[in-house]
Amino acid sequence: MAQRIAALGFCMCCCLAAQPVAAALDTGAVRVEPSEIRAGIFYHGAQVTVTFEAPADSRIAVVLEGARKTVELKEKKKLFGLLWMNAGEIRFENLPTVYKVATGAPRGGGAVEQAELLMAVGYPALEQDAGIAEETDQNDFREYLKLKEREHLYGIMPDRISVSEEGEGSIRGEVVFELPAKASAGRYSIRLFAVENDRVHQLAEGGVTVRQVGAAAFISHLAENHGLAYGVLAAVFAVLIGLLTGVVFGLGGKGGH
Amino acid sequence: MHFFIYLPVAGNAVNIVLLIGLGGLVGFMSGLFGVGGGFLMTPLLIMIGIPPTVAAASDSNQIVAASSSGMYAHARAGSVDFKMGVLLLFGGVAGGSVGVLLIKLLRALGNADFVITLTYVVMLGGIGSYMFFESLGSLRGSLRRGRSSGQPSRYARLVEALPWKVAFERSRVRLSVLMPLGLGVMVGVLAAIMGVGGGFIMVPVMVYLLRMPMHVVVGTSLFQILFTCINVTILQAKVNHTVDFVLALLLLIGSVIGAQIGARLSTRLQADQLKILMAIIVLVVTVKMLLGLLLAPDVLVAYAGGH
Repeated sequence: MAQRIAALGFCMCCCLAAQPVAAALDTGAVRVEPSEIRAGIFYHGAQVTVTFEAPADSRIAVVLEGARKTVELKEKKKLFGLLWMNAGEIRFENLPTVYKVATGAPRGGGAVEQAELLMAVGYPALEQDAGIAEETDQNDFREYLKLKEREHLYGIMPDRISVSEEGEGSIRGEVVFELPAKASAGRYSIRLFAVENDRVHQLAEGGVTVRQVGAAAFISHLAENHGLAYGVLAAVFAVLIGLLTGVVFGLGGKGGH
Repeated sequence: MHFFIYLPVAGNAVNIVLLIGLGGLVGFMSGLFGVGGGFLMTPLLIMIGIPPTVAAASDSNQIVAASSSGMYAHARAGSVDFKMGVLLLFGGVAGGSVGVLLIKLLRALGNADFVITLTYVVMLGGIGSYMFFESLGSLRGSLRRGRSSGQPSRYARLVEALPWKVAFERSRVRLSVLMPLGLGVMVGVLAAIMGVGGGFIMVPVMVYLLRMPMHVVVGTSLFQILFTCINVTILQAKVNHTVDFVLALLLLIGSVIGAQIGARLSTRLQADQLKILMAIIVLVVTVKMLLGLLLAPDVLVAYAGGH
């Protein structure tokens, strides 16, 4: 009996493996909680929980990615063999504002697959997207990654996916991303990848939107769209607050010398 | 219970208590020495995660509040020379415009950052050292007071030879209007190159070149800084959209209180005590800048857009 079950299981696995991985799961398999983050005046970052279904034998990765933009940086170099100064400007195209990769292997092992996965969706993929080929650019890119990791906007998190429920041939995984307050308002894509037959496939995609609300949204809108009025108001408020404090302190004190 | 607030223009959340504390510290210095404090506040804000452009612009906004609070206290005490302040302000605005053009030219030639940093270190180091040793000598009583017994210096003869002399009653000096205008231009050029309000250059200029009494220097410097920073705040908001009023508001809550305490303390300290304290702060900032230049940074890139 046990032999029959094992044989049936083997056949099912073979059948599953023969099909494209994307076909094994529907795109709705990624669930993101919350799907919208409301950034009000007391917002200080949020946690994004991603749950998904994936094949049980695959090494998997979940990627959280922000909008892609051009990045302009100042490069620090040693001048005259003595002074560290901004000595040049660097420009990288097509890099995401936020990039976090969590990986996991439901059934352990798979160091080779892990390396493949990170080649395909880790920092090397970003380097390729930005069209970085020269060695000096690669050094600058490594420094850029260091800068972003310090801000908690980029990160590679190996084995951070936890398997919360295991079914036959598929698993239910969960990963929690910390989205810092510095992550700007906008849409963040969340994509699920798996390695199968030495190839990395995207299994599903979801997303989360960060939206400024209330006073934060009002101030942001005013600053961006009515700059002059905003500047005059900011200056007038500052003068009034300054004078008011002066009057309050003046009433309480002896008034100078 | 958390004490974080989201800064909508800076796009980051920062601890409220930390911001009010920073504002208080810099406002205290502003009221005590008559400096805006931008040379200290902007780097501190960048350190806590505020983008450089937003840090510089929002700092100007909070300096408006701190300097109006401090200036009000000094005006009540009769220690603001408005006539001198207006002339310095006109010169400063003209000099600032020249400085901005100069920076454009330097950037086109390359190595503008090197010139800016070198100007910073030389100016801060020179002013700080001179003030320190002069005040130290004065406090020890070893400094010769006045030169009435000897020949007037070349500088004194030059000042004397200039036309259009006007009496500045509050400062108890009689000078050519060209002096505050010309020195205002010089400070404006330097302030624009260094990307700061210029208070810490203006104060020594008033003390040593315009020979104004220290208590009038502080109030008059705050008057000049107030208008300079109003102009900067409006321009930054209009052109670059980088003024974060929430950030400025929290900083100014601390700074207006700090400025009042500083202004009160400044009237209780002797001029030489004030000068030596300011010299020490300027020298500390110089040493910090020098260390920043000599020690290898942890990350060899930074976001473009700062000074």
